[in-house]
Amino acid sequence: MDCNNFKIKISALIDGEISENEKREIEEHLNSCEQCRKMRETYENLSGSIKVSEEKIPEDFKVKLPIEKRKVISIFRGHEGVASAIAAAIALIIFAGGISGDKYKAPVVLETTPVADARILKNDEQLPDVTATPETVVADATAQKRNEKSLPEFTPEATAKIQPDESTEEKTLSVAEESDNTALRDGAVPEKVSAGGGGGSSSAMAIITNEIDEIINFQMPDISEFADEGVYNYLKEKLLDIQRKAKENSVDIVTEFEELKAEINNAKK
Amino acid sequence: MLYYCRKYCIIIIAFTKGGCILDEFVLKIKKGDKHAFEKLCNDYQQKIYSLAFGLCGNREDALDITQEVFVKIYRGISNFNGDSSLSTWIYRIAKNASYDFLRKSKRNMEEEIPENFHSDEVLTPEEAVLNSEKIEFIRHCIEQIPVKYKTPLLLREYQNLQYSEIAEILDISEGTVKSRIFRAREYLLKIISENRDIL
Repeated sequence: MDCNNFKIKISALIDGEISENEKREIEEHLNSCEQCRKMRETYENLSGSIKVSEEKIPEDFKVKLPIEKRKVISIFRGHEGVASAIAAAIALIIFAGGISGDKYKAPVVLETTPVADARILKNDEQLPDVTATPETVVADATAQKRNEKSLPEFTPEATAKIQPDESTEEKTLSVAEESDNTALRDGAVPEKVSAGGGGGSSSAMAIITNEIDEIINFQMPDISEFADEGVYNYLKEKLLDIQRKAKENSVDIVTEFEELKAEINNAKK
Repeated sequence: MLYYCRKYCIIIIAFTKGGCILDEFVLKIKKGDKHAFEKLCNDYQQKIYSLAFGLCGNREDALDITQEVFVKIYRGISNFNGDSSLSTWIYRIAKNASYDFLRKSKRNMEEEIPENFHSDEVLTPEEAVLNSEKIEFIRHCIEQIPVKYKTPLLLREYQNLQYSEIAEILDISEGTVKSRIFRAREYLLKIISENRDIL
């Protein structure tokens, strides 16, 4: 018998993986073949050597599992209805906050209202939102300034606060004068401003200059609010550039400014 | 009463899914029992690590693979339906994770040992005894066995698994397991005999 053909059976034999019949057959052969007996011993010793080489895991090994999101809301297990209701409420608050927040963030000074609208709105003078006419806001500004020293968020009050200091022309704006002078509502560019001259555009430029100060000081003071430092620096540079142009009172910056404000909001985390 | 209803429902579901009845331990893990999962980690971390180490030959990589395997077990246990034993399922994950690592490391996964390969230089039984002082030498020799043959050999020697279990893990026949383990041993004997002088 060819001993090489027997080796595979010897290998299985030391693993205890052969049938009783095969075992009898192999043992008969082993009794008569010294070479195969040595082979069996070699395989057994080799098997022992491999086992010795097994690497032990470090004693300080600890299984680290990822934190699954579902664990966070595990307190709602079995109360998914409650969880859904809370989630819906939070979403609603955020949504409503987003809308009203945008309104609040809209600079009041740019919401110069046409006559017809202003008259209707005049009846709601008490409302502290953008539906108040500019003169109402301006009139309240002094009192608000006394009460509010600094505002962390950009609000109509914060914007109004800076108005009286800039121009006496703004303080005395009447509904009629408004329609004659600046009409910057919703980013609409008044002719005079577009033309880059005139007394009306001068005040509009002053307003924009102040608003940029407001954005830099109150809306963009913290770089961590932005996803990208480069974007932050770029936007700030652009703001300062517009401010410089406004001071020079030479070019149309209203549309550019509105676009930049939208860009800033998008760049925030 | 409710407990029994639930238990039998799970058994019925297991059967309808074509799987086997899951034992209490597996059900506990599936339900998210922290202690049961800890026990599973304690039972298998050494086994997974030694297999990964044997296949990739590096401590750091073997530890990373072991971590990865437990994350896969944790995430995949909900899909384990008892088609195979838990042990087979875990070894299969460990083998696949190790193979993925080897593929990423551009190791040759297809290397073959010829069908009629026999070591010409037969070691004496004494020469095949490599004690703990020669661990690095034997590891170095094992590392040179082609992956395809090394895997069943390690599952046999390190994990003490039967040929039928190895066949299930590697999805090959028992006859193939028997043949690959034999060829891996022959190849290892050849490598050891060729490197005897550096012992």
